[in-house]
Amino acid sequence: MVVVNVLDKAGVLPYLSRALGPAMALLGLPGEAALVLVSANFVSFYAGLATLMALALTWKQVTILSAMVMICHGAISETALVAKAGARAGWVLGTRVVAMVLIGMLLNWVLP
Amino acid sequence: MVLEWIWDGFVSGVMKIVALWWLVPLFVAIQVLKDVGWLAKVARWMRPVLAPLRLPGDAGLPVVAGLAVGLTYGAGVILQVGEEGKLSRAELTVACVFLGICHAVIEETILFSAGGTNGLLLVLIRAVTGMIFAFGASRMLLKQT
Repeated sequence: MVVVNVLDKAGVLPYLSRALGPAMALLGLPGEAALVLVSANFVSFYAGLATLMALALTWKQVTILSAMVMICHGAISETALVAKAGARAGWVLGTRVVAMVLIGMLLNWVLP
Repeated sequence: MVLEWIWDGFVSGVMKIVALWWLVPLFVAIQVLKDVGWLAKVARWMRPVLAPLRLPGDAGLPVVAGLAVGLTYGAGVILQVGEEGKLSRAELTVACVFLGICHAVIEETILFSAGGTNGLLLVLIRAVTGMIFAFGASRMLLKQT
């Protein structure tokens, strides 16, 4: 939480979001969508949801982004939890990130 | 200013832990359910999910808990099961790969449905994705039993 808060207050997250923005086009999403993914992963699930609702998106974009956020969020807090439980955290986080990107691309391709 | 950020982060970290108070009655409840014999029942219901992932019946309770209530809750239960030594590190990893992708299906789905999309579709996507990735992880991490 300490790390997350300092990153947040120091303005690193908007910078990270801007860096990721162009990649969002591959998923049929506007650049601001990166902010949703970044806040859901580095702040909290609820922050991601609040950011998502603040954006003006089509149904398709909301569905793609919601699915991505639901598959991968709380990258720091939930990964720490899983590691504490005794699982290999790298596997858990790795599969979540890969699944998030693949599902985003798949939905962008499949959904009308 | 940096000190203030650190302090705020510290406070929110402490609050997060305080917010986990409900783990205590939870552990008591799990112990009671176990003694009453419900664990075996829950494990049987989860067999169709666990078998393809090469997970033993002991993984049933943490998977049910994680699916229904959330990863925090599920991890708490997994922690307990892990300490009892019933699941290996590899088995815990496979269970967590599934739960990482698909958990808290009630709370998170309701929240995101409020965001204006089809909740049922999202649950389906998560469940299928979780099974696929956990299946892959189980083939790589767990030997045929």
